[in-house]
Amino acid sequence: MTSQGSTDRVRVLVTLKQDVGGTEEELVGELNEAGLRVEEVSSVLGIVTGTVERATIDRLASLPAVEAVEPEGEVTI
Amino acid sequence: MIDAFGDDVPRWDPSAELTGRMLVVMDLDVGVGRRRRPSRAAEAVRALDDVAGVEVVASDDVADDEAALLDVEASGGLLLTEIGIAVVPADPAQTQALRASVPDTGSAVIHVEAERWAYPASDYLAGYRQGVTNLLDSLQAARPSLAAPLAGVQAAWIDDSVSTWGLKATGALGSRLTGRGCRVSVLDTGIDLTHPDLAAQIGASRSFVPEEAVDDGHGHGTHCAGTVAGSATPTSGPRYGVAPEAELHIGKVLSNQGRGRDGWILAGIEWAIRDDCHVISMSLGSRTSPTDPPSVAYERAASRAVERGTIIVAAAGNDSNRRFGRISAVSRPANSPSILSVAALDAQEAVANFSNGTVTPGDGVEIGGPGVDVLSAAPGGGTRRLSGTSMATPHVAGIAALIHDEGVSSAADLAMRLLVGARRLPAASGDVGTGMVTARR
Repeated sequence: MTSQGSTDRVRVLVTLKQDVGGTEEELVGELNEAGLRVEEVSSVLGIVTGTVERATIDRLASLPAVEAVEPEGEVTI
Repeated sequence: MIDAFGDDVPRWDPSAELTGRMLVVMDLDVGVGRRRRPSRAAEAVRALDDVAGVEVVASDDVADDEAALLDVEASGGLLLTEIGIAVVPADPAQTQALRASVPDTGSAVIHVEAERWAYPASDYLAGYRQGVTNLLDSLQAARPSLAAPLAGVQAAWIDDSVSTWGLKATGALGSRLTGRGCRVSVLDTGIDLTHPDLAAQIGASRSFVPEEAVDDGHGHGTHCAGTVAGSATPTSGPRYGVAPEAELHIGKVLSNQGRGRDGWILAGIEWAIRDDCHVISMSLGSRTSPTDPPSVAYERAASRAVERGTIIVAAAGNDSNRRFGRISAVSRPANSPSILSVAALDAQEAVANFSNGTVTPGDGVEIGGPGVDVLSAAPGGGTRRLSGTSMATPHVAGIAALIHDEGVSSAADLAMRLLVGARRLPAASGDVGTGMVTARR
């Protein structure tokens, strides 16, 4: 949860729905507006990585263009 | 079920996927190295009618007429003679009659199960894999004689001066194929770019790890790449490369400490797809619990890869301790339906103690490969031995390259050939999938 004066940001993977309309810039703008600080956009995969305040994950997930929001994990050998 | 963010989400209801029709596995002498005798198809058509009053048309009779085939498939029963499975409308009494005939050793009916709705394109591989596994299990359970080839299983494979045990067990050593023309992306800790057994095969390389060059400061990536495409004539020691003429596309997605973020790995997958790689080998993962659903992001990435002609194979994970009865669920992302998950086998062709297994139906192991005491390349120009599902995975990627070399190019066909071509083992399919990955000679 967000505490006063600080942000509790988490790294997320945002999977976009198939056949999302609009340009990449428009899409990134929408995601930014919903609180996502976009770091990487994979247009081939339809996946965006970035950080978001934990409290605004639901808002991000409810966007029409978004299929799923998952926490970015750490992978090992 | 609680999701990763703590929200309650609905459970999957398997009964919702049933079509109302039945799949009937027939004994047409298909599979396990035997050829179907033409007359058996006609016998099977008669048997279905005799046993349960189910009328079917053999696909041989309508195969050249697409409209007729679709018509039969839509309104009646169809016997797919090449794979020995009939898809039939059957009322409860007919279903019961079909099932009742299975224990009869003289019956042409081997197995009966409910048909489900086909997976969407993104889940194509999952549906196919399950079909192959079910079919093989059914055949072996119902007709013990079909397991006869298992009598020839090796007691133990050994390394010698010619090759590693894994190249012998998989048939790569005796194959005339080399993987030429196949681009295999190894997404791992990078590679020793100057290794004499590998350097000539590196077609492209790139690091996705901030502030780290593609050069392998760990050694895991070099070992895996060596198994895929190490030279047929290494500078010293036995041959260890499965597909020595495959072109390596090395993506560094794990740091020199052997850790990486999902974002780096997904970026590596996209890069490999853009490079038109035919195979992506990922000897990496994170632990899962049986209740964890597969990642939506990885499933998207893998399904996009399949659409673009790229098959992804990934390590099932090393979290089990089978001696103490603990079998852990397949790791993420290998648990994604469109990714082939790979178990580790030892030189006796038994599942390795550490190898994860099928705990959640549909998210399990699909195939096995050599993964214990595997000799391959080490940074600095030499070799070393490692064990893990990480070592089994590049064996499967290498065999995929050999299959590609035969002229099989689509991702779905590559996956099919890997699964169908695997050598059946006397082990549970939940542990080894369809068996030991195997090359054609």
